[in-house]
Amino acid sequence: MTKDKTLQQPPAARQTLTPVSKKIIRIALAGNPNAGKTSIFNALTGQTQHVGNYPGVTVEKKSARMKYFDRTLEFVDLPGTYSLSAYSMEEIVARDFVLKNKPDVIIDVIDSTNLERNLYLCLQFQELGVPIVGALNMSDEAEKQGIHIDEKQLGKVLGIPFVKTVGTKGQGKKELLETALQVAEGVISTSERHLNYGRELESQHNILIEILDSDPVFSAKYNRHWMAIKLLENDPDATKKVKHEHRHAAQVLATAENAREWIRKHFGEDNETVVAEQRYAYIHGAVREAVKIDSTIRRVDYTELIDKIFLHRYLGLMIFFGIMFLIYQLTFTLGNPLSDLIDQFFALIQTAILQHFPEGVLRDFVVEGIIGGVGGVLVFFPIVLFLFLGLSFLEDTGYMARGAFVMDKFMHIFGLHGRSFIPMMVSTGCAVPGVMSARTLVNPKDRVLTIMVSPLMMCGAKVPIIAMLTATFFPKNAATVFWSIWFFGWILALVLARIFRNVLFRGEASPFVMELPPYRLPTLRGVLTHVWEKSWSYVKKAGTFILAASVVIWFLLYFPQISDQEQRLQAQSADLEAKYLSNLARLDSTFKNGIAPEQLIHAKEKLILQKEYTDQVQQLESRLTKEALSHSFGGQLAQFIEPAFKPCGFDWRLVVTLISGFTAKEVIVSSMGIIYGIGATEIEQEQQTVTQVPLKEKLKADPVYRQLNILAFMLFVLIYLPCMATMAAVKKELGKWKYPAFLAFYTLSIAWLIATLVFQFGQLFGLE
Amino acid sequence: MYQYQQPQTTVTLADLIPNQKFKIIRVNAYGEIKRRLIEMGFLPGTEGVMLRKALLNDPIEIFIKSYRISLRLAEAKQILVEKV
Repeated sequence: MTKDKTLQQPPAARQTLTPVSKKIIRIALAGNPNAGKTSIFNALTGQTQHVGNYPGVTVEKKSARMKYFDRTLEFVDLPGTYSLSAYSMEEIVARDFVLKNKPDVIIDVIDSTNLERNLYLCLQFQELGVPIVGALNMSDEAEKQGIHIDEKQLGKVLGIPFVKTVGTKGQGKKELLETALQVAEGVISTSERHLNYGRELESQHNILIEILDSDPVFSAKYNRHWMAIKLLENDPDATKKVKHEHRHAAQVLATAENAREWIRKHFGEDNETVVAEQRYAYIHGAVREAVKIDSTIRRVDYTELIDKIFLHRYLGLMIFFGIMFLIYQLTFTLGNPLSDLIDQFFALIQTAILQHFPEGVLRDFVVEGIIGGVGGVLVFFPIVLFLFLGLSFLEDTGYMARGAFVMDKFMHIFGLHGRSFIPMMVSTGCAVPGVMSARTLVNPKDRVLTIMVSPLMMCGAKVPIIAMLTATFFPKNAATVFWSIWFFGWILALVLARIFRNVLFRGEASPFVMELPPYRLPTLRGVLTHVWEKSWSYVKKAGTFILAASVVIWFLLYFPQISDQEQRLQAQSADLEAKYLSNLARLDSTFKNGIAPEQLIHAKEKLILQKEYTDQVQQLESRLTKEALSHSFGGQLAQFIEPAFKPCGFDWRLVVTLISGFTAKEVIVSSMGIIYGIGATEIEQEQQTVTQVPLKEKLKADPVYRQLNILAFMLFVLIYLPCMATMAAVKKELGKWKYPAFLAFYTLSIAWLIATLVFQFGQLFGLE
Repeated sequence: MYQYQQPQTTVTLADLIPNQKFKIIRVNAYGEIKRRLIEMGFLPGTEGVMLRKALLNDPIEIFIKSYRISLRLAEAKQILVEKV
């Protein structure tokens, strides 16, 4: 019995025998921008993702998990970088991930046609002391150009295994994965440093290692060799780490300064250049040993041929505007009808619910708050979809960087980047996709600046209100006024960008060192998945905020209700009905036994009575809605803050429309309709045909509204508070609430200021 | 025997006309820009070609190592080159 028991292994002991491969193997993908990192990621994980031709596309961390035989693999896509110095956001993200999360292996994706610069990053990873595999990507393209790489030889020289791949075709992915796993599991070692900086640098490097080792905790946490090199380069991030974490920080930093000084004297060149030079020299030597370039192959340089036209001094600008026009047309001519369809679909659901469910707060909440909000999110979906279809295509072909090249001088005058033009132009259609397209800007300052001014454009939702008001109050020169306001949006955005750059981002010159990647044919799958990801992330992230804001605005304009409104409505409509019926009876009695001509008059009189009655009922209803609105929190708020808008020449009714305009700018037209007691059906007509409709007449008849305060109002609408969908997009793109908060604050201030200036000066000079 | 030596003409990258080949002598920038340029391979002795200039001569596009890159005039002025 006892013997049997010992034979039976307890389960706990057996578990310790499970192979190491059971654990999760974490693989990070790194590489230069435009090296085809994303296509390798897709090939390895089977998850489709964007194939970027543009730096910054993968700023957000993407990961995927998959089973590989008995192992679980976790892939993380690091942002594309040229180096691991700590200047850009992407570099810090990539470097800190490697330092803190210590992935089991890094796959460095290398553009085989551009070996030396790509290997520069590769060696930095090796210096960090992480296991690494190099994927010699686009190897087919390199072969075509006569670049023959002996990957075995290259691996031997650099101490890193290399595998040839073609990411877009999935070639070499199996071998790459197998090699990565061998490295991760220690079968192949890449820890041995082959890179030699030369006798002089190495001696300084050894002195630094010695002093770094005086704090064992520190040298266990960071790779000491890497830290020493970074100190020689005077890397700000490494210096910071030493300062805060090393026990003998002062000594280390003093030694580092001495070493740098020595290098400067010895080489007659600054330390950064010396270190980089040695690294490149080493790479150059390795490449010479392992790469044969067949100079007999003279391929046509298509990129140069295309650039001769696309980057032509004058032609280039015209082509750029032509392409932008096409993208704009594609987005809005295809997107708008679909948006309208979605709009109509939600309106249909709303009427269906209104007809089939009993009246009450709940029904109104569902119809106006929830469905209105969801509709407000999805209405933008087709526009976002089509816009990113065009932009992804431009990115993946490599044109995007060219557009920035062409536009940079003009945009730079205003403190912006060449790439800022696209978000601003898109915002003239809709600021939501405009703000989203600003992620093509790599530098965070450029991105913030561009996003902050883009919502000032005259977007599609501001068009109906401004077109209607110009047609009403400036009938003689409506077009001139309208387009002046349109251009004013652009001028204001550019001027404010300049001011913000000088005041908020002072002295921060962001270098414009931009690679112009070779033109490449994008893959359909790459473009489509990119489009889908962006559009869907908009629905998910911006959607929640838009829905919430829509509910809040609904609440503000709906509550508190007038308690006896229902009774009053019933009593008064009963009155009206009784009056109508008695009038009808009297009419009938006078024509009791009439002859033929009298019967005709009878019928006519009857119709008149009927029309009178329905008019009265409508008037009653709209009067009560108006009362309810002025009684609501929103209405009360508007009346409360009315004095603040006196200098702009607005009365509280205009203020209410402005409050409601936060949900979407086009709502301003319909809330004007409500205030002027126009039925819902008439507002529908209003939006379709801008000419000759009651709202216009009523506004015109109202003595409060003159050309001057309406002009001030239109400018206010152009500038003030971006709609909630834009705010949601800003929060989503920039991550912090302080950005939409600042946007709200400054747009309101500027809007008020400009409206006041226009109204006050207008009055001063007697313009009415 | 007297041999005429052509004086070495040191100019900046901004002074070159399209299709002019050059060799970098020194990068006179500081901080982030310097670091960027060095990483991208703007090191003494590196050869390249000026490809073109945008309208108003800014920015410029050059070919260096085996890729194309654009720089603003302000940055190009900090790169000393010699014509090749």
